[in-house]
Amino acid sequence: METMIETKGLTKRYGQRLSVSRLELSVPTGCVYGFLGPNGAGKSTTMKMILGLVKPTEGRVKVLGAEMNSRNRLAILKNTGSLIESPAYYGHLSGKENLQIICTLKNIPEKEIGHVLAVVRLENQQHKKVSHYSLGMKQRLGLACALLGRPKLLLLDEPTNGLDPAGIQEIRELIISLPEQYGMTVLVSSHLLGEIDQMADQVGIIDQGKLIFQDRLEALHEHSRKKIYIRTMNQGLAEQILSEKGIVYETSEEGLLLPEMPDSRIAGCVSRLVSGGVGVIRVEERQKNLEEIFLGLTGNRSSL
Amino acid sequence: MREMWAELAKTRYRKIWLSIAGVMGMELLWCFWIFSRAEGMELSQGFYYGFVEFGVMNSIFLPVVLAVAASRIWDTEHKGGTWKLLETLETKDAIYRCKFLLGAIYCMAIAAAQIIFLTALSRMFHFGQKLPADHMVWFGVSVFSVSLAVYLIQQILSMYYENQIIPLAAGLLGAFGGLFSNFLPSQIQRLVVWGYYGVLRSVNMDWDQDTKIITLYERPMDYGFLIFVLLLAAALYLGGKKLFLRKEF
Repeated sequence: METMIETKGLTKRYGQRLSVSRLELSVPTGCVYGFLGPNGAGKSTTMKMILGLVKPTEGRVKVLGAEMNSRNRLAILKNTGSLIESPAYYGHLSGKENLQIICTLKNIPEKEIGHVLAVVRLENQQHKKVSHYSLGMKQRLGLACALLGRPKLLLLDEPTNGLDPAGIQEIRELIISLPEQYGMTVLVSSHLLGEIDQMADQVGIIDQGKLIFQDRLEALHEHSRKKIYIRTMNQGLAEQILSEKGIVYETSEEGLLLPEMPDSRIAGCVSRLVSGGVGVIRVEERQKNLEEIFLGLTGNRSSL
Repeated sequence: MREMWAELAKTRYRKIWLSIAGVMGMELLWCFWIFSRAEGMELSQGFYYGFVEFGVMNSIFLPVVLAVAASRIWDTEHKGGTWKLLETLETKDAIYRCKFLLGAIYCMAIAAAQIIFLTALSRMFHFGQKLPADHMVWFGVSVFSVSLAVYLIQQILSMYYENQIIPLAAGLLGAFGGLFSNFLPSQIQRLVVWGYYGVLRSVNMDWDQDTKIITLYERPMDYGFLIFVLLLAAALYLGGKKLFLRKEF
């Protein structure tokens, strides 16, 4: 199976508001797919439609090669695990008792519990009531519930929300290891670019309900072209000199941005500026970071 | 069956059985006190006296304990935000059905407990009356049926409102309404679901203010109204299920 999740024209309308619009998502098997977008972009709604928790207004969802409908939904979801919006738990029960309930419902042996607790590192807290867990521990328990039964597909909605940096790193490393160690495909949503950049192989960017980018992470980085930044003591004169020589540049507050060029041409530009009486104080190679790429893709409408 | 086991596991430490046992214990103690002060006349119709006493207490206590039971069964999901997880593991139909069945088990236990208590009290206080099997069965069936209808109302409220203060307040108001409806004309009494414990009673009581004598007499068993209560319960089940299936958590 090449694709774990495929959506065709997936749309959700709440009254007049279009929450998700004609989404064509494609999650390849065995990858970590980073589903990126600002708050309110439609990430959670999309994930809920994939799981059949919310009925789409239009469009189709295919999961694990089968088209999702009300009859086969649970049969398909037997091979999935999910953590949507916030971790689900029974606070009056211990961590282990929570997992026992999931095992009963998933019809899987309870010996799986020891394994998932070890994966999320909650063995020492398994007998504690979940209402006494920290947020990070609750997130890890939610992940443990999702991992029970070794599903082929994992859907995680902002799994690092509310965690401290150590917790974020721990969850991130766990997510990265899942395809290799357990053969799982992971769809993880986040509004944090840095998170997706460190976790994902494939990226889909959603903004105001529309999928504006979907490709490998490397392809997203390729959107950023290198530029040469030159800072001078007389920007006006520098611009005049470069214009006379036919060199294209962009003006910024701090200096001039020239397109990527061979080192010899850069040296030539600096030499012309210096011989023209312009003091050159900075020459740097600059590349757009993901945030700038994102802002470029969204037309500066949204920020993360 | 799996879903039912999971539902039972969720009620661990929720003390639902304790609440029910506590209320049943109070009713038993009340009846114990009543019968310990009863005279020969009252003990000669001990079972009838018991039906009346339990009927009044049921109007006061059962709406509250059923509200508590429904609240504890449903708010375990609201509190932990477990709806989205549950819907990936079982159908909404199964979730609703199992929670209803759990409540029905409690209703059955309440009816059975009261039959057992009354039988035990008859032995303890040597009722002069032979066990009226038909009235006893009627008593059990009517307590179960009315409790089921009341539980289903509470189930709908506890399912719909995340804040359980609303269904619990409804249970308390229901208890007051049910109790006071016992003293109203039967046409008005039949409008208050929580008062149906009194409507379906097969025995009534007259108290003469001058002679201070209590007279207990049989009432016809209102099969028509019992069927109405069961149909009401069925309608509440189906209506509640429709609401639940449509609700997006």
